[in-house]
Amino acid sequence: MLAAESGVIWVPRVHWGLFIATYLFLGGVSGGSYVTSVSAQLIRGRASSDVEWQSRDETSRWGSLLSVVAIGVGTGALLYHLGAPLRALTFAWNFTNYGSWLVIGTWLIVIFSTLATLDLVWNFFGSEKQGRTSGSFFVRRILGWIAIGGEPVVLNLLDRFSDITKPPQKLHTAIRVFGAFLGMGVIVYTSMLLSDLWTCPLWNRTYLPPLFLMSGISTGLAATVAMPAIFDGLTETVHQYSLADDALIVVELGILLAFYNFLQGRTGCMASQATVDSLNSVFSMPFWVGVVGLGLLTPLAMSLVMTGASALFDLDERSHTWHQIFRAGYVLKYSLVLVGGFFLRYVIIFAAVKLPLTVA
Amino acid sequence: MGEQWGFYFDPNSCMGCNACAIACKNRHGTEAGHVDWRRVETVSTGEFPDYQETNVSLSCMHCEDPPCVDVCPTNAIEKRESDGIVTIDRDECIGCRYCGWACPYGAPQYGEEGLMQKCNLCLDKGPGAGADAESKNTQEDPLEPACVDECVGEALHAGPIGELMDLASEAAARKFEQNPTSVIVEPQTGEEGQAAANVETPIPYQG
Repeated sequence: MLAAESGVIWVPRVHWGLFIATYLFLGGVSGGSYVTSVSAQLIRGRASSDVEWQSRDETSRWGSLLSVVAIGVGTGALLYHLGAPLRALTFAWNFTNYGSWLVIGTWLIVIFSTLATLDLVWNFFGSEKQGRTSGSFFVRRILGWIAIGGEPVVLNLLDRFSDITKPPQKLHTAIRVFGAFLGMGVIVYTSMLLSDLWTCPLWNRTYLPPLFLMSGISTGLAATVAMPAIFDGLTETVHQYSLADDALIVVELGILLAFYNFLQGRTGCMASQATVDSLNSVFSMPFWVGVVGLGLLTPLAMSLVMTGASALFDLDERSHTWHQIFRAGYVLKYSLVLVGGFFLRYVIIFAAVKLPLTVA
Repeated sequence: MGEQWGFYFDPNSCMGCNACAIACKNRHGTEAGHVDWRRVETVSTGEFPDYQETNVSLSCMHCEDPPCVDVCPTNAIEKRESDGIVTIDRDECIGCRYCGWACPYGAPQYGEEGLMQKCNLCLDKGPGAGADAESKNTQEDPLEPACVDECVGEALHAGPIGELMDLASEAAARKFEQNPTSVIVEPQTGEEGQAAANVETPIPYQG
């Protein structure tokens, strides 16, 4: 409802809710997972040992899997929000306004999802993947349960499809690198969708795209690297990715605080001031505690403590108990990064204030 | 390009009775509660003893370059060349609510079914009606908007902008020339005869 205040009319703005926040968050996780996946493959060859090679190989596969799962669930959340979801599925001929970021984003997501799904098939299926048992291959085990007359038909079909379609290694890598750029495009799109509108100061074109890009890669990395940490244990790769995530978090924190400072400094803009007020009142918990505290500062602090401790204890020689504690620490850190990433989208959607109509 | 249609509103004649909003709801059968194609806001300005209240009747402004049209993925929203009325084709709307965020006036409304509906300047009755209606300029007996019909103080008028300009004061006409909407708003005349209030379109936010 509208609230009348002195000289202004505040315009109602409750158009999007949790499902859109989830969609934006998962779009970021998906793109970030894919970028992490490709990076792990590219640095795989420089692994210091077989264990690290295996860890990077697993990280790469987990990223490939998570990118598809995240974009799938995210798209589901978007469709659930729509008034006419079936009409949106006919986007190929229905979405005719190519100047709309919703249309640009739809095509980006469709091309990215198609490529990421094909890539997933190539990474998990094919005759060379038969018999693999490491953590990420649980996918094969589950599909193996679907059998007709004792034959795992779906698995066989996917293996055959992969064998027929999988490109040579160099071309496959080139496609994946292209996919990583598309993944970053998907992350940035989620911010362009919002910042294309001039009605909300919180949807700022200067700050939102780099903020979402950092957060998207950071959350995608966190989701991806948490998986080998959970399934296979701690490796040097998990630790190295954590350091990379720390760098992203520091940049993200810098952008976020600069953005907050910018909004606070716009004293002549009532909507900017109302936004800052809401970040410090109604949305103080999700913003200061959820995004800044749990999502950025705590993971950074945890990383500092664990990195400091690792400098004192040699990872390979550490006791089982310490190993488990560190493992749990990294998983918790990555989980908090994801929590913070979700709260960021939540706050960006819910705390957005429209420019009021003024009576001069 | 046909002559543009729009509204004329004079806050000096508006008593804030909400008859316009109710008439609109009645004619178009919109849902009770949160779907308001037209609404009346009472805005206070100044402090005692220079305190003043202004009643503002708001609906879709049928903007010259509507931001809702720019963002609609399916081109379901159209700024009609024939009469300038902004319409929504609900058969094309996917209910993404992007237009709701894009509109600075809060004109797009969403009912239980989640599709967009808004003022169509009474091209026809009901949500989404009028998208394919004949131009107001060529209709023999165009339907008078319900809000105008029921306005007790004759604060609201609708018609071709050229005709509405005949009703407008010099100040209102001058203001309209700088205005990106199709609504002529009369400045409110204070007790001392000074132009005291006018609804301003927000300046696009630039980050």
